Amino acid sequence: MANNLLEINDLTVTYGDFKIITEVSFAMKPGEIVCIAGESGCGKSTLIKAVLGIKQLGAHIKKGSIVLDGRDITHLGVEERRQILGTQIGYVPQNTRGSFNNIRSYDVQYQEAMRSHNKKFNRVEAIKCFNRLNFPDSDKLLAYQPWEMSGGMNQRMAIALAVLLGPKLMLCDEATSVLDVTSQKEVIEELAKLRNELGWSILFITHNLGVASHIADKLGVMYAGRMVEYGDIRKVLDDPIHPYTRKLLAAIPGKDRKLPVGLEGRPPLDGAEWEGCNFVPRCEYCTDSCKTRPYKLQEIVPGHYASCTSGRSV
Amino acid sequence: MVTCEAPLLEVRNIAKSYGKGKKGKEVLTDLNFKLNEGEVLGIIGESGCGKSVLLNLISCLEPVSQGQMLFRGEDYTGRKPAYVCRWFQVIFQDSEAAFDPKKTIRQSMRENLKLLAGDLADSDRKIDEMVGLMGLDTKLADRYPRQLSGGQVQRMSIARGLVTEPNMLLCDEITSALDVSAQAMIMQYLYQLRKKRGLTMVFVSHDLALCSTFCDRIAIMKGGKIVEIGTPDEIMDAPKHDYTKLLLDAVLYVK
Repeated sequence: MANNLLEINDLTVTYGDFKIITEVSFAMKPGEIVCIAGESGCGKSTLIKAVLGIKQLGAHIKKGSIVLDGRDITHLGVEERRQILGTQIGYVPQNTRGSFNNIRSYDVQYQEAMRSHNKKFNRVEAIKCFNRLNFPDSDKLLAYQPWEMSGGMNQRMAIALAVLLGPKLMLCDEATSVLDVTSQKEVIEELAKLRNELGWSILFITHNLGVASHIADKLGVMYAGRMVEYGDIRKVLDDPIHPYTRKLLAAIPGKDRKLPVGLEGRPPLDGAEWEGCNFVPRCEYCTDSCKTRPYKLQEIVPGHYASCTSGRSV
Repeated sequence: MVTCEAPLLEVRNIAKSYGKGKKGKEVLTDLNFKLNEGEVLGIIGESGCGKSVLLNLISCLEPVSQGQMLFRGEDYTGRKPAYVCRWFQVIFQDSEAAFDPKKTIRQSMRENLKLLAGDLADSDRKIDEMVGLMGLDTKLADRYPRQLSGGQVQRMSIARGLVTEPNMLLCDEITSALDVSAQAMIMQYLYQLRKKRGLTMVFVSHDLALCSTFCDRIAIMKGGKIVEIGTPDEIMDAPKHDYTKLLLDAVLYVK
């Protein structure tokens, strides 16, 4: 296990009394793209905030540990954390306007970002980097201000900045879900390319399994703060085990042009309503024992974990 | 033209530009389409292609620069929004922002009824019926918008649009802020509405895969023009315009 880039062990995160993430564990190898899928409120974004360092964001880690490249970063101080953010962990937020100040040029903001990480900013390097990412007008880009750009382009500028800082691990929080399909595809292809060229590892949060299937090596499905299924992307998509994963797949408009099937209700806000499975209120296969059987992620097929197998067609 | 044969909505050569002279920018050029009773038209295009402006023009929220719009053969170009909102109701992407945060959903819906129907007799029954039709518990109508999930607020906002029984719904990216399961739920209920009430809709979206499951015809917009219009099968199987092909290529299906 020593060669894992990121290890998350038994992580429990709370906001006040609310448990947002309950006992989530997984590991990422260098150069791997892991997607975490699930609906709004299931704790996907909190997971990323936990890796980034959560104290400033109001939540705290109750239990478990986060290990980056052999070093425990669960309870780092502000100064130590600042040293790893950016240079070791990069972050692309969902809000495309969130990464930059809207009315200052990219040039100034790139310089500032590089300086605050004690790195030299080199315009020629930056333009080379834009060229490599196939940006249009790459030699003029730095003079623009973010408001002049489309959302997709702004998102790509944020990715380019991350490339210049050279982290090992990228965290993308719904990085494409506010973009339209054409820009979404461009961003996805860019990320895949960067992984191949620079050996990045990417933790990609999305609710869109279509996006996940195009980029990920591993897929984790979260429901109400728990990881309910985890495994190689092909195994999870071709043979989904947990009832929730199947529901999630049915909700995506497919090639057959049939109306997608929705899922009524919403995940429970507090992850720990009862000891057992918290998908029970929305599950068609649940039995009485589901409420009491403790949650456990089991290896069903080698490399493919799930916490429930009800209604699985074999 | 005989009135009863006229399409529900006809848009003739409409154009819209902002600013004048050299600074002017044309955002819509020469759009033409007809929409028959009970038909659902999907409008697809990237951000900034003028989809939302088109809906604003149809619902008279903005004046057109040129052209005519006809409702059942009646020219209503240049009318006030208050005049056309009994025919058309617009549903926006961010419904929580479209509801008054200090009023319960029911109070907001009453406002609609008061404005459009003039009397509030039977208002509770009408509201309950619509809320039920969208598959929500009628008790939820007494909550405030922030107390509902994104998908629920969106369905409430459709219910609010429908209480005054308009002829047509204009949906502006209504599912793009939602996650896939809530989106699928909305689509299911819209489909039920079509079956039960024969509702006419203009469905603006950037998701071609979603539109192909639901619309009778799809119009592809690019740079303020409709570049292609046809049934989902025509668009998906035999796209003619290069931009349509590009869009089709960008749809990420689950592999």
